[in-house]
Amino acid sequence: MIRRPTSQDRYLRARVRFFLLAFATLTFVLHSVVISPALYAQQTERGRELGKRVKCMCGGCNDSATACNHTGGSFSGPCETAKGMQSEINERVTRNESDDLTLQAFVQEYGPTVLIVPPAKGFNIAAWVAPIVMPLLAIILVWVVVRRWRNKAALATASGPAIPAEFLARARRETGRDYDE
Amino acid sequence: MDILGSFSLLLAFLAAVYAICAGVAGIVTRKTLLAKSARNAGMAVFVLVTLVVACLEYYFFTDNFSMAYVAAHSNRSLPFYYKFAALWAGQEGSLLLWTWLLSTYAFFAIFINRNRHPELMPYVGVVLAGVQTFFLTLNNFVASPFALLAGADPSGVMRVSALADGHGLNPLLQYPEMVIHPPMLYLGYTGFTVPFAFALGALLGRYPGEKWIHITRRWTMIAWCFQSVGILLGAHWAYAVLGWGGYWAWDPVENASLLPWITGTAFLHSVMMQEKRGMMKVWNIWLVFTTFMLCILGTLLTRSGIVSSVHAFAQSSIGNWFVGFLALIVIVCFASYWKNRDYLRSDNQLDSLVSRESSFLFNNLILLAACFAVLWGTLFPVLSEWVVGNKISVGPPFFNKVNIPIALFLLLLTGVGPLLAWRKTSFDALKRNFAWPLAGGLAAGIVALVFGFRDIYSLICLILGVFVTLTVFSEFYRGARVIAARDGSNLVSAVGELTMRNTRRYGGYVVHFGMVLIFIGIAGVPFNKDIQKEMAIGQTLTIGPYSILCQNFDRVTNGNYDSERATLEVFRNGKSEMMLYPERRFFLASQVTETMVAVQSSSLRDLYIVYAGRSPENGQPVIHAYLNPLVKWIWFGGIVVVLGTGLALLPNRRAALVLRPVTEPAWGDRLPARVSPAGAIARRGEGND
Repeated sequence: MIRRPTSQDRYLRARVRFFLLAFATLTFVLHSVVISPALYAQQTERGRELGKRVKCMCGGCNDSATACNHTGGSFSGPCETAKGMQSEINERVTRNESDDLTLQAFVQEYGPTVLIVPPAKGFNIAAWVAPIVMPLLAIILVWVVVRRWRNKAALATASGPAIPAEFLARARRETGRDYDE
Repeated sequence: MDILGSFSLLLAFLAAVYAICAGVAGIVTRKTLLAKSARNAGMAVFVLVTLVVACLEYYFFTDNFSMAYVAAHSNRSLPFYYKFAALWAGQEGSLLLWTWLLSTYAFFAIFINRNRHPELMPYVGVVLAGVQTFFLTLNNFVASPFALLAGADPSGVMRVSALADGHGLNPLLQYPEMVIHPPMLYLGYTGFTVPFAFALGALLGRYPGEKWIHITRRWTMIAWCFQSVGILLGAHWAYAVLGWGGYWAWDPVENASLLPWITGTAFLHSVMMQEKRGMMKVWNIWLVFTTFMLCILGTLLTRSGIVSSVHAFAQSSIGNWFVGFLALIVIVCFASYWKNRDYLRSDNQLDSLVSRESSFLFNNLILLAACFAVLWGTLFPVLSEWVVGNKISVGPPFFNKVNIPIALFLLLLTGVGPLLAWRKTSFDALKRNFAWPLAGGLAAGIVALVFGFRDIYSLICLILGVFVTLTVFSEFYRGARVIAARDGSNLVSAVGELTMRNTRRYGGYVVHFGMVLIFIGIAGVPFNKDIQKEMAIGQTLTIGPYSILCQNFDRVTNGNYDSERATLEVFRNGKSEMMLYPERRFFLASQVTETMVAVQSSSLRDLYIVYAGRSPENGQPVIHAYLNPLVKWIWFGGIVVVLGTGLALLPNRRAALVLRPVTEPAWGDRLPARVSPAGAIARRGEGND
């Protein structure tokens, strides 16, 4: 037998509905006010970081899209080119595109020169490797030279005649006057 | 008056060519008269180029807008000091400034040594005249500053015409530092020509001993000091004018100025190896050659447009001239070296790896590594395009990544080197010299960690900075203590006495301390903060401990520019601290807008405010605030570096009392005898350092 809802049941259901509605509204408001801006800020921060990896292509500076701060022009701050690039980055970040995809899109549009540092691929590896390899080679070279010097010095000490003290003293007397030049 | 300038310029060119021809003839025939004539011609170049500069300045001050160069870089309402500085605002004038400074150096180098080094100076004179001839060729035939404006009269005949007013000076250059930054930098660039001329002259003439090193040491220090000041002034100008909150952007032209500075620094250190121990002769000669080549390369980069830079002059074919000149220098240097390489044989060998010699070796190596990394990064885009046809960019992150570890290692050596003895250092001495500085550095690091200093590079920089500072002070203290104990004087006067007895050594330590201050200043970069906000009157912006209240926006007008200005009150902990007035100027003649940054600088941090203009969306004024820690340390460090260099340039007190210049045969006369081997040995054994 089905029991007919009493007025108390209806009251309870109404309260549940009300609370559900209130909860949904509150969730929506919280989402709009608190969570969404947080998400937006996070994306903007990521966009800023990505913008630092992309060169402003206005042709008048060597800055990144984020760091561009042009003097002159109608608005000092990021120039129009940099602002356009940064907003494109932000859009792509909002669409949740990956960093690689976003950077690739810029490379396709402007060529590899748009990347503020060359990616370590192909010939560009040389850009990164040479500043490490060359000093290392130089250290090895110096090491070899020093060893040769030391060997020669050992030989010279063993076989070379000592310079007499009076000869050194005379030499110092004769040449001391040159020092103040 | 109109033709005086261009006529003098042509005459200067002829005098320089004559100085080469007569100089070479004098060397070959060994005729005194020819050598003296070449010397006088070399000095006449300076007089003539000075006249040229005076003429061009006269045109600027009299608003002679029939001169194309004056019309392009000046206007009637330009303040007189900027009219003076407008001389080097463009390609032609800056090349003339280069020539003038070069001829000034050449004049003094020749004049001071007119009665000395008769075997060496003719060679030096020829090299100096050769370099001057190149620049005078450019001044006369490629980029003349005396071109006239022409216009057709009603009958269609072309006549000289004058503009009613000039186009004005580039607003970026209308800043006090721009009056002195280019001349300082050029004094550095051109100054390296003198050591180059002496080095090449000594090699060509096989001048005996290390005398050329003694002669050029001061010249190199002077050039190095000017280059340092030029670089720092440029950095300060970028900081104060460009409004991006930074001072160094690894721009190709900035890099170009850094390259000869690095090799010059390496030379100033390695030269001591040659003076004290007769070692590294080939290395030193090549360091001087390389420094000069890098100066020319820097000019090539600035003026040819082969790398994109905010500093670069308009692209022109002038780059080809510099390429040709650079190639000629390389050929001459290689040929001279190859022909006379036996002259550069080392007299001594390295005794121990734990010695000052080896620390100098490493210092040179690291400096050269830094130089290579900067050069490589600067030229890699060109290389990449050339090799694989791929245009790429090499920006600041690359240079920071590569150079910061190198620079820190160099800072370490700055502390280690001076504490090592010549030849060999014992373990006990190592322990004695290093214990306290090292403990001090580590203690500073721990304190910094406790206070939340988390950036690894900055932390290392701080530790090393304290370490080097303590080594410098311990060097002063130990020396002064001995003098104080012996003379019964107090420690302060003993420090003075010690310094004046060996100005080069202790001046060098002061320079090291200045470099530490600069490094500490740079270590503040990771802690920079910035915020940009649209601000209406009455609104506030908060950054770090500061609250900035916008009080007003107003307009200021004068004949040169219209300015929009913000009036900002800065509060700290609720208390009003200062008023700042960032501006945005619109220069009427050039129709260009420029920011004037307001900076409140303290030893801990700079509050750096840019009035970024009005938002294009709603017309609201935009304020960009930066909080940059420790920047002041960089400028203060620069001052200390200059003072240290000045100190190192002074003669030693004892030497000044005892040594008198000796009369030598005049230039052109033959030396009676070359320096004896005994002299060479003694010179190696002792020195000023």
